[in-house]
Amino acid sequence: MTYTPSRRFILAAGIAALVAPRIALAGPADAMHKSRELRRGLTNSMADVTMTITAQGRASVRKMRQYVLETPNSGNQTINVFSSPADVQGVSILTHSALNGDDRQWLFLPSVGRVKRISSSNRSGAFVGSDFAYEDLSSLELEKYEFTAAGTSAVGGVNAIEVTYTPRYSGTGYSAIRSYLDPSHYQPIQNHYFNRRGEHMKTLHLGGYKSYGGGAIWRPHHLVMTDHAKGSTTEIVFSAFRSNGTAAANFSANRFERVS
Amino acid sequence: MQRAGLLTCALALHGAAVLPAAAQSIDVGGFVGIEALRFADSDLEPDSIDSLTAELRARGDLSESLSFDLRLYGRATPGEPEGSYVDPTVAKLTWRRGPWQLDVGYDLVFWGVAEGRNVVNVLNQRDQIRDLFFDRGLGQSMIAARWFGSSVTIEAFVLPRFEELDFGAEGRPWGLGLPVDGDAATFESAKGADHIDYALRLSGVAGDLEYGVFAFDGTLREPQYRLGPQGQTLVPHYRLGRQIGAEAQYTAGPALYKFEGVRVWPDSDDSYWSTIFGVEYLLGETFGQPWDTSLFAEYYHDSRRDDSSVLFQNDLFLGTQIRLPGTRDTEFEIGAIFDLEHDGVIGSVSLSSRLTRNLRASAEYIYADASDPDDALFNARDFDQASFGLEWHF
Repeated sequence: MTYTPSRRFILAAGIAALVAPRIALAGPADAMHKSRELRRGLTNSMADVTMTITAQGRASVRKMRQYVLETPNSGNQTINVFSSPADVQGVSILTHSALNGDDRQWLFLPSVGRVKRISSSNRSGAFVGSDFAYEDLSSLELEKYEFTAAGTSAVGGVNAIEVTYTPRYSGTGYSAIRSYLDPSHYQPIQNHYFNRRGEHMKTLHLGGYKSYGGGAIWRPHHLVMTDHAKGSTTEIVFSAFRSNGTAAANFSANRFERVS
Repeated sequence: MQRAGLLTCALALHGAAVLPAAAQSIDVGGFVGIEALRFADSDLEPDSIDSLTAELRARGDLSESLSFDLRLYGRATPGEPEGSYVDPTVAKLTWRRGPWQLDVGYDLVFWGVAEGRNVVNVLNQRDQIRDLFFDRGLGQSMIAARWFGSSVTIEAFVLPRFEELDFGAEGRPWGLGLPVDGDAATFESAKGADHIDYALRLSGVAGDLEYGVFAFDGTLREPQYRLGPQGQTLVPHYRLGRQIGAEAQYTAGPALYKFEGVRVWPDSDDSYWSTIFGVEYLLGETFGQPWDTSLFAEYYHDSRRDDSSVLFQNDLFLGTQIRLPGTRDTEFEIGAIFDLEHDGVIGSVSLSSRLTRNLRASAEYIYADASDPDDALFNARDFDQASFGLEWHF
């Protein structure tokens, strides 16, 4: 595996060197800004994703290959190509995350050879029947949220940085999201999601963090989302992670269908 | 038969390319299935058709710039050899370098933005045995050169062989009033199905607007029907002609606004134009349930208002698609096209769901009703049919 550090990587490395020893924070937005910077830098990455949805004692597995392109002045661009279940093999979704939450999405249906622009307004809808909503999987862009509080809280034996924020975009299913950041790398180890009535409806556990670029870039490789109302869970495992995905030009509506 | 011959050539080409062990990775998949079709009018003969279906897909890279893509669809209908076929829906080699792409072989190309029907989807012949509403296409042999810009794509097509509509056995009903003798099809071109067609298309994205324009010169995919020698059958006749078309879709939050239009100049007939205006609306919840529901409304217009053999001259399509939550990817669709002039209607209700990890089931009921003899749907008024399918995917 080869890895060429980008300018963003060098910037992130510098930030990591400056902030790693510190826990005290000026404010919630600062904490999330640092969290975001320490996640970015793998400009064009790829991973195999295994999603296991367990509900009412029955497990269902979906597999996909995910390509992510970080862009300097807008949100991430993502291609998800499904390989399992077999009847959706080859179906792919291109998402251009927007800083204001108005993501753009295209769907490729290989059975009819059609690329279709689809509405992304149903942000609170379940992603392929999982416990993740579309908005949970959209890239974390600071402009999409209003950060309201920061503090510290003990989570899983870690004195975590607690940040609460509210989505600014329309169509959200949440009144608030609370993230608990590991102070050693500023990445979330738990997210709590509160529905429009203010009830704690879902919890996301993030783990299996691996660092790239000498500790400057951190990515979770294991996610478990629990829906407390439904009693269901969705586990996501990232494997075969590579820092060289597909050509940047393929993250466009006229070319993403060629990616497999 | 001709299709099978070309398929053999395509397979040989693929085999030759794969054998040097240059393949870096090959993805293989497909399905085998059964399908039962029942006609509600028991006076029809046959009143039921049962088929075995299968599809094999393979895709892989042969080198950094060369790849292959194969999708063979087959249907075997016991007792109806004319309804049994193998279609190389996709069987092509693709060469890519920078913004350029060249495809050679059979391919499936979709143009259009509407849901009920597509007037600009003119390259591939429709597989009406597989899908009466023309969503499915037969493979089309082509050489396609594409240039991809950052927001614009330019495509040029050479289409060396024409695929006819497949009508199955002669007695199979198609709602046309008389049986269709597909084997007796005639062509305006002296070269018949070997006439070479050409097409050019420009498409792109500008913000929330998607658009495409095209020009086509060759054999028109939609046949006209002529009475057979004894006056007891209809014979498809494929005309030559030129056409230009445009499509556009504008996305505004949950609403998608759509347009398709085509102007056709048949060599031996008057010109005409067909248009579609539509809107699709995505509901986040339905009746308080977390269903993913899309609503569709489309208006169809055709300038051949005085030709009673033409469908969808002044019609309205209303439909909905509901995707239920859960891991079975269950979809329910209901829709109908209403003739605003003659009061005829044709519609369908369908349901599909994954039963097990590999097994998918589907059911569809198609209904039609018409009372006006001037309505093109009049001969389809007793055409109601139900189909059930099971597919095991691998």
